[in-house]
Amino acid sequence: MKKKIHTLFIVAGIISLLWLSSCSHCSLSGPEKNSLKKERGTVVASVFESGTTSKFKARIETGKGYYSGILVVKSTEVGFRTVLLNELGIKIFDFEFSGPQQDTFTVHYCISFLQRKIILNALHNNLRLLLFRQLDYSKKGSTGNGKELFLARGNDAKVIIVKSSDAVTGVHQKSWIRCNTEAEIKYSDQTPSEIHLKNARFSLHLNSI
Amino acid sequence: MYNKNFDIHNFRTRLAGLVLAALMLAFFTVSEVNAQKGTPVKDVAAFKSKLKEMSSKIQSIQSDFTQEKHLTLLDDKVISQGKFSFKKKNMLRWEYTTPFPYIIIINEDEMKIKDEEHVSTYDMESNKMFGEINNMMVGMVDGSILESKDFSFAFFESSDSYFVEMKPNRSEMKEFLSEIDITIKKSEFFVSKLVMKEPGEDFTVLEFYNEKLNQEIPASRFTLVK
Repeated sequence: MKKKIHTLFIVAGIISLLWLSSCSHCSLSGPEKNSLKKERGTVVASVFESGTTSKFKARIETGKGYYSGILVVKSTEVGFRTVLLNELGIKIFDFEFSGPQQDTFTVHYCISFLQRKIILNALHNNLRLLLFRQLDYSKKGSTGNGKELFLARGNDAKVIIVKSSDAVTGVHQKSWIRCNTEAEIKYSDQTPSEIHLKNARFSLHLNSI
Repeated sequence: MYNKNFDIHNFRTRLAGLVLAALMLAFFTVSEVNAQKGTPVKDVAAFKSKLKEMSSKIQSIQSDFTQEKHLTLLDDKVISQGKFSFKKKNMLRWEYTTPFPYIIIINEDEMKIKDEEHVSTYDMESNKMFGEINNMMVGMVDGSILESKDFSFAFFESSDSYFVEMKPNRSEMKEFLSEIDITIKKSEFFVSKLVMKEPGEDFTVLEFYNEKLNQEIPASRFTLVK
């Protein structure tokens, strides 16, 4: 009996390690992370400016398959609307994000083959990382290459916002519950032109059109 | 509750006014719709027969197209353009050139999508939406769609075009399309415009132009390699 429990613990430990290593994904360097010091404040964390609409060539990959087409991101009074159209122009989903950390998620439309809790959760949890407006941070850091880092704590995750020249160029989410996620944002004429968001189970690639 | 200020004469006058306004609104709405669609086709059987006859003569189609996506969310439209090719019996090629290049090939029961980086293959059975749209497109080109039990039809005509209003009967299609309106040029019996209305108010307009009928298209146009 004791042996069995011992074996069970070892197997559970290996599975946990594998799971955690599959989720670990962070490109912030040691010095960048070490630069974070306690400091409280509010940071503007918007990738998309208020009142703007952006259109992207999109490719979304989940463990279950991939979806591509055109993603429209519209900033509204209360938050953001995101609409994905497939290659023939048919609407795949229409989501609304609102609330202080875009954690209120409204499904205006979603085609039946995506209406599964695991897929909707993945879309919500990952897209929202790009749709923050302001975040209260508890740690701030800066690096020699002009980057500023802000660490904010959510309900079940830590989010690090990376800003360069006052624009959000990276978002990193570290969580014990959710996969660690990182997003890289590039700009052209002060509007987001290329966005890559990735974790072990989900990836999103956007190119502005 | 009794209202002592209630005036039956005034009420009747107001009610009559409301009914008249509603009738006028209905009349103008119907007139406006008919102005867009034309008048109902009197001899539907003759129209179907003519379409079938003309479709049987078509072996291939090549044309340019413009796709306009109207979203209630947006003030402007999402516009795509490209080239469309069809070859009997069941081969379609949608080559989008703007806003970014990608190609959709439907060859019998297989669909492939190529963008700048990937070629993805789909089984039409597993991707019901593309399957439904493919069947609809091929059915429109070869005229067989008018015999389909998957849609309810209404037919209208103007001086230069026929207008077919199709409403899906099956729930699989109703989920993403509430109505499809086809405009067919009388001169060539060629689909010149397609409006795909979604549940809600969003819709897509596809317009075809510079069409070339029955020119040889090599089979390689309907294959994609990685």
